[in-house]
Amino acid sequence: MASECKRYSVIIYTENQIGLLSQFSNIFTRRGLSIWSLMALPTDLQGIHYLTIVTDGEERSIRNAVLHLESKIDVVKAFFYPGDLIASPEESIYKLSEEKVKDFIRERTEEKQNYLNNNR
Amino acid sequence: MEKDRINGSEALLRCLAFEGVDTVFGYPGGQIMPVYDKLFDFKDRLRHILVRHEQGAIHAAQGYARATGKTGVVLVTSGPGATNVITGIMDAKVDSTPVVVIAGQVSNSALGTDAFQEADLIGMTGSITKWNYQVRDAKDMAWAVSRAFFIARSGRPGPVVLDVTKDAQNGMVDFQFKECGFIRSYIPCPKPSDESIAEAAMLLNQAERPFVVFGQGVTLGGAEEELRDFLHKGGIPAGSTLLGLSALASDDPLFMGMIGMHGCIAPNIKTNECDVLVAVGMRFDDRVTGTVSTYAKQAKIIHIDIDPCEVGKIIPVDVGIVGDAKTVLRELTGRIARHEHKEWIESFKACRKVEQEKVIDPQVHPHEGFIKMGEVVDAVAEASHGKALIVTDVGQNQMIAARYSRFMEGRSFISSGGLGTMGFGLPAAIGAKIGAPERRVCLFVGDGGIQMTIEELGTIMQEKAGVKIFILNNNWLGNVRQWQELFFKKRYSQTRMLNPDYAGIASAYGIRCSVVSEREALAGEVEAALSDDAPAILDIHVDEEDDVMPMVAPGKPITEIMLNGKEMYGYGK
Repeated sequence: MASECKRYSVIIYTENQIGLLSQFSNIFTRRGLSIWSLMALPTDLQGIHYLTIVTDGEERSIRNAVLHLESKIDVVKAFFYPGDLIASPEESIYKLSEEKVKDFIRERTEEKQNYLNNNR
Repeated sequence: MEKDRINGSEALLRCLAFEGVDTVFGYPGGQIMPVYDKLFDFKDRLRHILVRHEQGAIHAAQGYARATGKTGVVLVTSGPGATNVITGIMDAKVDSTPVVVIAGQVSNSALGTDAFQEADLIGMTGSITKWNYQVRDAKDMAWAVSRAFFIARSGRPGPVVLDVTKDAQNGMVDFQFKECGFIRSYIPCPKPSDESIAEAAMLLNQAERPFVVFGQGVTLGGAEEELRDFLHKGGIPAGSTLLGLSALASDDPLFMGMIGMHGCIAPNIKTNECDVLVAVGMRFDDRVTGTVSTYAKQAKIIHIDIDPCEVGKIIPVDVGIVGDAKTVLRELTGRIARHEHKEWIESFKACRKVEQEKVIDPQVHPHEGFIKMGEVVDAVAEASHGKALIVTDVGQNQMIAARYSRFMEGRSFISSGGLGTMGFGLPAAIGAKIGAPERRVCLFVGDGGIQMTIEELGTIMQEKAGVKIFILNNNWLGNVRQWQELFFKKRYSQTRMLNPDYAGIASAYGIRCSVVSEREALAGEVEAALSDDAPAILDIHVDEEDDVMPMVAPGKPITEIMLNGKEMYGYGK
């Protein structure tokens, strides 16, 4: 009995080695899983990157793909969630010069004014 | 220090020496010449076996690794040299064989330009290696080599490729070797959880009909003794996968034979009758399970494997234990009660009786007609008292050798299991003999398979490797012919083979060869072939249209067993 094809998000924490990305994508290709989106970001741990791969497939194939990913020497951890919406809480503080902020606000205000003038 | 300022090639060879390597299988070429040049100075420390084709090098390294438990090392050039080892790398991956392949590569500046003999080896081998790495700087050499060996031989072993550019070979480095023993993203040998072992012990203590299937994980983990203790304490009968053979002595009263497509009737039938099935160091290959949906449905499944990926991959488990076979079996033995399960073990005999009459006797003890393949294997087992190291090629020769060889020692069966690589046998036997010169190495090979790597007779000649080669010659690609007979209405498409005069070929290589076509001469010729340590070939003309039986047809339940082309095993009637 074939199980249902659904969307999953696969998270990989990995060392950043040359050639790994193509190895990861092969793991999906081999199982006929197409990649919908892919995002790679560095983490606080030096040399460790964080990848999010969104893919469609049967849970069994995804599970096997994730186990296969984990068996890669340079992969620290891999896991998956159903769906493509992963909320990861983040906070950030940006330090900007006053001038830059003023410029930014002025530009945006002008843009908005132009838009309103043109569409009136 | 001035004297330790050396080039990358020398650093590579010094690293090999530090890693305990004494034998390298290889073939020189343009982009690996700096390493071969330095190898000239290492003649006293590193024995280089010059093969006749790079595929021979990798299979020989695999045979060497599997006979000795050490890591096989291959040295080849870039481009075609590197691509010629790919089949063997894949073979080593599926059969978990520790091999380190060192390949030359063009210079850094030429990478990606389609330079002469440039091949994207890293790209090509990503999915068939345990790890691969391109060394572009001599400074990385020691790090990469020590890491390669650590990865290849630790945990579930596997092949590692090092792609070494010309710059890395020629560049100078202040050499310092540092052994790798830790990689932060890699847990080679997970510690089995106490709860899972306790749960498994509880299931086993309640079991009335427990059954064990074991694979090569027992051999790789050096857990032969632990397996025997476990089985005997629990009174548990056991079947072996193809690669598990020889981990338990053939004459052990609890050994019920090989499982799977051409396995014995009893262990296959009993797989679907047991109440607890313990799988040790095996991965439920489709040649073992038949249809997965009908496999051991009635049983509680305990799966022990060092690789977490394998647990639950094919067969859903009730208890999964991730850990090495030695530790887990020892712990488990300590926690199970002593049992005999006499009635259950006795019940295997009925299946065995049918197999003996319908399959084994006509194959091993025929009184008329052509020589049967089983007779040859039996004659070798007889003459070597079950102590030979058996190497096989792939096909009917492999299945017959697996079925009728006898194993009294561990590490006595080398065969290409997961990939089924024809041409594996001859070079693997050479590697096995070079790694274990004290052992009698016997190769069973078909007339098809031997021609795939027949050039390695040259290696035998040059290295005086005393391999005993038994060609089971039926003038067919026998296994495919058997399938055509059974499943394709005897339409024998491209399986008939016109063979060369093997005795003539052997004589050209200076190897002695006898042609055997009479049953009366067989035992004597086998004895004579095994009488010394020189290489020998027996070209044995066997029954041309003989089938390997019993057989579970592909895609059928493991209990639907053919006894021959017409009869099925009538279980339950």
